[in-house]
Amino acid sequence: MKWLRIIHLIHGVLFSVMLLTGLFLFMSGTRTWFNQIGFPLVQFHLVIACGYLLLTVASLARVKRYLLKKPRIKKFNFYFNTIFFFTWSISGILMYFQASLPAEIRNGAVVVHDWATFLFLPWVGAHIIGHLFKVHLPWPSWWKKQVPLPPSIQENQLERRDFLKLFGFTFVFLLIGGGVKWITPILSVANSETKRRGYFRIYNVTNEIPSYPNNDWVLKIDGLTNKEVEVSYYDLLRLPSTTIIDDFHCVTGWSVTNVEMKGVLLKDLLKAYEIEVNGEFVTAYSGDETYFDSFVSKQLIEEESYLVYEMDGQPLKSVQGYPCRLYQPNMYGYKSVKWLVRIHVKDSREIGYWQQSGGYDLDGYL
Amino acid sequence: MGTYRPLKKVMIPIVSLLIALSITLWLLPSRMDHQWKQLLARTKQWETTSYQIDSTFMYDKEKATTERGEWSLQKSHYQIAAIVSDDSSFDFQVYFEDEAFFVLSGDQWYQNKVNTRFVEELAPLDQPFEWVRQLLDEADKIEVITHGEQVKYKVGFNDFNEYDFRGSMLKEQEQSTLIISVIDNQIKSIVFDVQPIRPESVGILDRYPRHLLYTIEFNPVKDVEFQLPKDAYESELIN
Repeated sequence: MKWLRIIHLIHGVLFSVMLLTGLFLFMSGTRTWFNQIGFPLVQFHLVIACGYLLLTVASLARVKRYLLKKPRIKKFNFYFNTIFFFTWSISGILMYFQASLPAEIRNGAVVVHDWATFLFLPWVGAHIIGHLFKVHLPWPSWWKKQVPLPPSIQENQLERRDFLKLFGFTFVFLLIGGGVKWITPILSVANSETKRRGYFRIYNVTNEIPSYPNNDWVLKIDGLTNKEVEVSYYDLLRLPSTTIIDDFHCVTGWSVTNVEMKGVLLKDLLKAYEIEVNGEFVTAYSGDETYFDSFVSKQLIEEESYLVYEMDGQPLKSVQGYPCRLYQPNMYGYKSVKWLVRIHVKDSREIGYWQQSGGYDLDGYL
Repeated sequence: MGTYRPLKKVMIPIVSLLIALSITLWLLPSRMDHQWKQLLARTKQWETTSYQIDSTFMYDKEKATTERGEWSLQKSHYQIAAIVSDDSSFDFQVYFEDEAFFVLSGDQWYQNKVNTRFVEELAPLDQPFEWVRQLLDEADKIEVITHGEQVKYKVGFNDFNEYDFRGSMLKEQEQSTLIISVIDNQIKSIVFDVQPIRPESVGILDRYPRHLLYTIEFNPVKDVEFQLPKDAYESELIN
């Protein structure tokens, strides 16, 4: 019993830390705050998750043996927790290895991971309040004590034949429903393949979002170029624009598909201003005065990158990088520097913000 | 009032019904869904082949342009005749190469990138199968008619989400169809027959069609090859 109490306590502490760090990662404000103070929240969450995983796997069999002799509520708690444990573990592992998985799977993993947490929160709340304040919910006695079931519950216990009936009925209803739908003259898949799916989670490294009232934004292009140029917002709008519909991928696993982005190809801007790039590397700086990332010049020019100023037919929102953000279609979102204010051409490569503090890949290819 | 005991006798069929209903609504296709997906997949298969193309655009039953040339995913070229009057036409040649296009009119070359208004006016000559896929996104119904080896996909449209076809903004439709004829799995023709309802946003004095008819015929060829002169690459931009 003492052993189980210790396990329960360690489990509770690890779980609480993991839940809190997970929620901090989910919420844009707290995530940004941890970025600002330089705390590696993602890595911390992962380390705690590994400890939680090892502890749970090591104690699962023994806890099960103990709880299965206990009242039904204890058994329920055991199975309920076990289901969520495996849901978090599997979706978490998929999120960790997301770079080698298709977008549908990694998006699904992120959604399942998030929703499992939200669905589990009421149980956690009730469990903690029950323990801390000795509050007992008015469960019937057969649920919380080892007593025989009342007839109304006994007769409704599910048996093998009930599951067979469930599958049988479902199969028959599926045949009928599928047949009816097949002959019904409706076309529901049109437009579904190109529909915008997913939503943006806003990640910043500072809580102060740069603002440009009256569009007083300027993009400076300097360094190893034949000339130094400053491009205003209105100059940018006057250049020939290009619109692409592309899938936006975040390195943390989520994606937004079929995002329409309008902007100017960097190579078109360079051509229009007759700028010659004489350096092998480029550093792109954000107007938040903190974030920056670096590229090989040809990644932005020959492979084509965009200076995006519209998304889905609307000017960018402040949190999306208004008035202009960089976008390289073959790279993860962290390479798309928001509030782009400077493109600095150099002969050596800078190590970008997330490469320094998050261990992200320098090139960030999908 | 009857007492249903045990309750599971009632609950099991209800739960089964709900599960089946959910699967049917979300996962199972209708016949039209299946045909739509089949056609979409076929467009991707067809665009791997090169074709000789003959097309005609009729505006209010008057011939507006005729186009003849060869198409492939990377390179295409066309001889285009824009009808000016009964006995005269404005002729020019258009070449598509990767992301650029080149126009030879008289002895003069022009060029630009494909995403310009000029190419929109020539659509779907640059990417006919991409154009079909765009239209499929707007489809309201689809029907497959089979006669021996010939299969016709008839796609119907009730309205478009502001679709610009050769300078005419299409919204609500009276009876518009896209008919794709296939023989032995090879595409033979596309007929886009449009009977639009004049949008209220179009001014009284502005020209708006009562009927548009666009026909393209496809004949497979081995490859599309051409070599553009240096003048083409050094020519001035056209919008």
